[in-house]
Amino acid sequence: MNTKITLDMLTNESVSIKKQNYMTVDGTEYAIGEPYRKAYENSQKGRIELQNELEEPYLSATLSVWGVVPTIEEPEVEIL
Amino acid sequence: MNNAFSKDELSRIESTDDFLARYNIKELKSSIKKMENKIDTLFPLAISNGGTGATNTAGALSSLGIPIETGTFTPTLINSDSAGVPPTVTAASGYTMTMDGYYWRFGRFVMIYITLQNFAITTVNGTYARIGGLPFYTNGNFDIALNNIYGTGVTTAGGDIAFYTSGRTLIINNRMTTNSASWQVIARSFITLSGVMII
Repeated sequence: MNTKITLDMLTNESVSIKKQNYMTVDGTEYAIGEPYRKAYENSQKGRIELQNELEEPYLSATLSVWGVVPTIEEPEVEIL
Repeated sequence: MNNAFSKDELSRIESTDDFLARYNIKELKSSIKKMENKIDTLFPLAISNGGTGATNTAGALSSLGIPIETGTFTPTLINSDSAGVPPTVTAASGYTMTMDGYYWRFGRFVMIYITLQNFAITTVNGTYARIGGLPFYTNGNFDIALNNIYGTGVTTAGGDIAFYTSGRTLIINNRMTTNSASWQVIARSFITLSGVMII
């Protein structure tokens, strides 16, 4: 069984990482179970989380779109 | 015009493979029927001919710009303070903790269901209660349309709690005001909610 990782809805602000397990039987690939997702945002915290949880080459691919500076600023104190 | 075969012709035909093939016509029809059942998979109608190029319903809808998908995610209790330290969450003593999230996507609409069971909060670590780990990034702030909610372990300035999405987190506020809720130390807690996100 292998896991396929998809960078879905990748923009300079966010990405939704989709992980799906597959099994190949007699040359035909079958999806096993349901996909698992987690969204990340291009903020300071979001970038750290992404680096801790996403492997290469998907990490570099995401960061190449996100650039070197976060595009989402987290407020010091949240005002609602 | 007479198309009937002469006796000689019939004799010649019956001695050939063509004749045998005629007797196998029933089997051939059966094979064709089986092919018909798989024809959409084997030969998807091309986009240039009005099709979607997909081999199944989900693929067809996706090709039309309406992706459908069901899946899971792992909701987590977090704080949105600048320090970013989440509350300390453990299993309630004597119970099995489950933190499960499920989603059903149809285009830009995503129905989510979150069930957090038998967890304890031992330290709060912040003042802005949030739920993280959402499967999609929301398209701007959007009040989540709650179908049902049950929750403990959250304090507000008074009144019930309400949820709305912001980016990839679920913000928990007082339902009647915009005051943010905060987590509270609790020995055993539950949160269950469902709603729709716009992505």
